[in-house]
Amino acid sequence: MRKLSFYIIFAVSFLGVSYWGVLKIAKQIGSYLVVNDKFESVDYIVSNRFSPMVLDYIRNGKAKFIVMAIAEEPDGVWRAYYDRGADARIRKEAHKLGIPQEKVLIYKKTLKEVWDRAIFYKYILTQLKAKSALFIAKFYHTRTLRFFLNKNFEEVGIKTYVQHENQIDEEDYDRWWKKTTYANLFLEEYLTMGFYYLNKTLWTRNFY
Amino acid sequence: MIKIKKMFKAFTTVFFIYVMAVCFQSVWLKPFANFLIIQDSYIEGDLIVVSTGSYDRFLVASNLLKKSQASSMLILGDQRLKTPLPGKSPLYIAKIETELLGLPNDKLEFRHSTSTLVDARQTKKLMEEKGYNAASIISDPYNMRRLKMIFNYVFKESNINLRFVYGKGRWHPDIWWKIDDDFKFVLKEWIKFPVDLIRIRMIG
Repeated sequence: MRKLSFYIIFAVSFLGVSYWGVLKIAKQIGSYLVVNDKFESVDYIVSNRFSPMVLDYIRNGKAKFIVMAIAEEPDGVWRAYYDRGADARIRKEAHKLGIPQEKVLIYKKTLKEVWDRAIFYKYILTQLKAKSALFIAKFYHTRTLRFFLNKNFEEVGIKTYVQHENQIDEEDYDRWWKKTTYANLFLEEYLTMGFYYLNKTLWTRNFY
Repeated sequence: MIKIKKMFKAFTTVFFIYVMAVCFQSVWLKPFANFLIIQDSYIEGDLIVVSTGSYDRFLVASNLLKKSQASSMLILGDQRLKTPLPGKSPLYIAKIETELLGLPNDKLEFRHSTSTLVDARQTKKLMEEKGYNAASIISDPYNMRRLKMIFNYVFKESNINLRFVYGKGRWHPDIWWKIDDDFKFVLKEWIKFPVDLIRIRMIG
């Protein structure tokens, strides 16, 4: 009887500790992906829309210019996503929001992969002689972006910051496994970084 | 001295394996993608089935519908998912695409689905409702093995003839590990395939 009690207590404790450990690791997997850098002011904000946060930074003088890249043409994507008049629409929206035209820099470039984006922005921001830039991304994408920016921008001396858009629910990354969509998106982010390491290890691709 | 010799031997072995892995990467990496790819020949059937999982597969299915005599095309998508268009689901995006491609509206069926298993169940339900006997299931190459396994499981007690067809599209099975999208797709399938296999075995 004593032995049985011991086994039960042991099994319950073991399961409890395992559950706690797995939960902690799972939470860490989610929160690791979320980066939110602090900054005083930057020369440029890289964003694909005028979110309230972007507007706030521009209006309060924390950023001087907004840089946007829009797709050149629909290529292998749903055509509903492709906005033919994006250029004009963005300018119109900026005007409506009271942002001077010269503060919005629009580039037409289809950027599919995250390092393509990093390389493209490195080129653009170097041309613009930027000293610093803030990149706005979806919260689950911030770590991957940070990863590729670190690998690209160190050599050109442009200080980069990454922030996610406001209004994210902590549960989105703290309990990511509850939503299949997030589980898939989080997995993709890790795979993107894994892809870089695999190809580096196999000497298959020159990333830069 | 012996210890140093042993360490040198271990290092040389590891280095040799690494060099071999780099030099013969095509040999050992290609089968990972090839295992996932299954292709049946397309035959004229009653129904073409496609999910909104990727644009490539949707385009292949749409072209087949235009060319073939199929009665209907079933488009499956998750209405809960968000897209870059605020408030619009992938199913809505697909609806717009069918209009842009000029697909006949009377041949289209749209259904909400959250996974491949639900895709299969929705397909079976529609086929039974309409009395269809044959369907071509269209997807991307890397999705085929898991897709076939799940559809065959759902249709195991029916006499419906299923064909599994993919269009090559933008995928590169020969160099999948060098292309970001291919790499992610292959690895995700390798994660999902055993999970679904266990799930199917467990539920019977």
